Formats: sequence, structure tokens, C-alpha cells
Amino acid sequence: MADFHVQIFTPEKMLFEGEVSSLVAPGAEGYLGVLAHHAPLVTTLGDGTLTLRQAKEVTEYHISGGFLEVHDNQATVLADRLT
Amino acid sequence: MPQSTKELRRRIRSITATKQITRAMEMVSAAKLRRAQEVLLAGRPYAGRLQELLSFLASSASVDSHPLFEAREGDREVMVVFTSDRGLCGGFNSNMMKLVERHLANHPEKDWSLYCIGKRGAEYFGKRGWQIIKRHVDLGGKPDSDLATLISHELLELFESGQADAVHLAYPSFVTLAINKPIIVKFLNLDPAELSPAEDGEGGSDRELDYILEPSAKQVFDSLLPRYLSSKIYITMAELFTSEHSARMLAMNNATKNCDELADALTLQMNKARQTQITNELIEIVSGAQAV
Repeated sequence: MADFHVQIFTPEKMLFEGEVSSLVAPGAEGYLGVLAHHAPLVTTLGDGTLTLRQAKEVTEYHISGGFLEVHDNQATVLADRLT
Repeated sequence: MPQSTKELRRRIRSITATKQITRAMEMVSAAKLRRAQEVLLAGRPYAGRLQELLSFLASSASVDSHPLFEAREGDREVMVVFTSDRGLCGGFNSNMMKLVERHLANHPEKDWSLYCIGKRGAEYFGKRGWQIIKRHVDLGGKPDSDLATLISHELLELFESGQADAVHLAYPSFVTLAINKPIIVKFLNLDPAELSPAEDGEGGSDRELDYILEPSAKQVFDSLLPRYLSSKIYITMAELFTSEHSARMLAMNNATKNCDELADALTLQMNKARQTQITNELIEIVSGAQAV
């Protein structure tokens, strides 16, 4: 499966940067999944679980508020708080 | 040199003790500076991305109508003054206060009130009878995103409720390790023109993408703005701390050097005094012996 680039920022620092095959985030209108070649998108994020799927690994973060921006196989998560 | 060797020796001892303190403070500041700088650098990407996103949305959505972009005619202005909690950092705080006082004096037609962050500024302006709306002291030497959010909300509320027609930030911008420069920038109202240059600098060629905005352009924009503001305050605080530590490190470095010079000069003086004393004693002995 094709991978795309993800960067996750909090106000304090960059928490993650790397290639993932999928990203699932708590969007404003419910959870949404992002795969490679997703259409350009900007959405607000609510509270919930942010899931990153890499080749074998699955990483989960708890996110409370923020933004998700996707364009050209680049996803940027700007989280208010992430654990 | 009428001073006795005993007194000189005491002064040398006290200066050496002072030197030890200033040198220790210099080293502590150097360590803190490094940490503060890391925080500042780590925080910049988030702020940069946020601004990028905002500038993109600002050009697409109709922002001119947004209340935060409205340039008001009123003359009630708020100056947010960033100073450190502690002194012993050279002209760091006094430069800041001088700049602010000059700015206030140059615009006497405005009805100024101050919002002080940092103890030094709060005390200084409080004593001089300026109107201080709020003070945040004991910042703990580390930028705190909760505090930054709180501050930006308070400022936002002042602006939205009409208690302030414009908000400015006065803070020491961190230029290089040795240089920090107090500057004043406008915080509110937001100027759409000010948001866009960052986009040009980033080579915003493919930013003309057709974004899907969820839930809606307006809602994304509305939740982006307060975050943009608090991230700005957060970065400003990080700059404040970084500048503070670099200023203190320099001041303490100078103080240590001065101590060295002073101790050298005093040692020379003491040796001379001791020599004179010995010579005098010898003369007394010799002339005593001759008299016998």
C-alpha cells in the first residue's frame, strides 16, 4: 500500500514525522481516515484517538483539539494537546 | 594609598567571592539559555504551520468581515509588556521599559493601558502610575501553553468587548545569542496583509489547491484564529525567556571580567602598600640603630 508523509506538531514541539500508510483522526464530523493520494483537506479535530498505521506498527495518540491538513500526500496534524 | 593592607586584603576577598557567584550565575544562565532556545526552536514549526494555514484561508475566505480583522477608530489601546521576573541581566529590562515609555509618550492621544507579563515591568510601570489592567508574574522561566492560551483569551476578550481597540506586544526579540532587541508589534486587530508575506517566503506556489474544508470555511477559520493568537503569545514568551537568559549570561560574563580586573588592581595596590610598609619599618630600624 502506498505511503504518505505525516507530521504531527503540538505547540511545544514536533512529535512525529514519518511515512504512514493510513491515518485515522477524530474530525469535526466524526472519525475520518486518510490514505495516500487523499484530496486536499482542512478540518478541525475534536477529542479522540489519532491512529497511525505504518507497515507493521500501529501508533495511537490521544488528541484533544486541533487541525488536520492534507495536500499532495502530506498530512499535517496541529494538535492542541497530544498524549 | 592610605588604605591599609588589611583593608585591601578584605576587599580582595569579597570581590573574589562575588566573582564566584557571578561566574556560577553565568554558567547557570548558559545552561538555561540552551534549554530555552531548544523550546523556542521546537515551538516554531507549529506556529509557522498555523500561520501558513491561516494565511491560505485568509486569502480564500472572506476575512475582511471578521471582527478580529476590523481596524477600529477608537483610541483605547493596550500594550502588553514582556519583561523578566528577575533582574541581574544588564539593560535587558530597562531597555524594554524605555522603549515602551517612549512609545507611549509618542502617542499621547491614545488612552493607554498596560498588560504586564513579568514582575519587573509590572513593578516599574505600577510605581509610575500607569494603568495596569492585569499582571502575570512568576512565570517560572518556561513558556507554558496553558498560560499562553489564558493570556491570549484575555486579550481577545478585551478586544472583543471593546475595552481595547488595538493590542500591541512589546517584547525582546531574540536575534542572536548575543543580541536581543526590544520591539513592538501589533497583535490585534489582525491585518490580512501581515499574514500573507510568510506565504510568499515559503514559496507558496501550490497553495492554490482546492481544499475541502470541514465543517466549513468559516468554522475552520474561527477555530484557527484563537489558536494562532495563543501560539503567537507562546512563541513570544519563548523569545522572552531565551532573550532573558542570553542577556543575563552576558551581564554575568561582564561582571566576572570586572571582578577579575578589580581584583588585579587591588592586589597590585596591596603589594605596593605592603612594600612601603616594609621599607618604612626598615628605615625605622636602621635609623634606630644609627641613633644608638
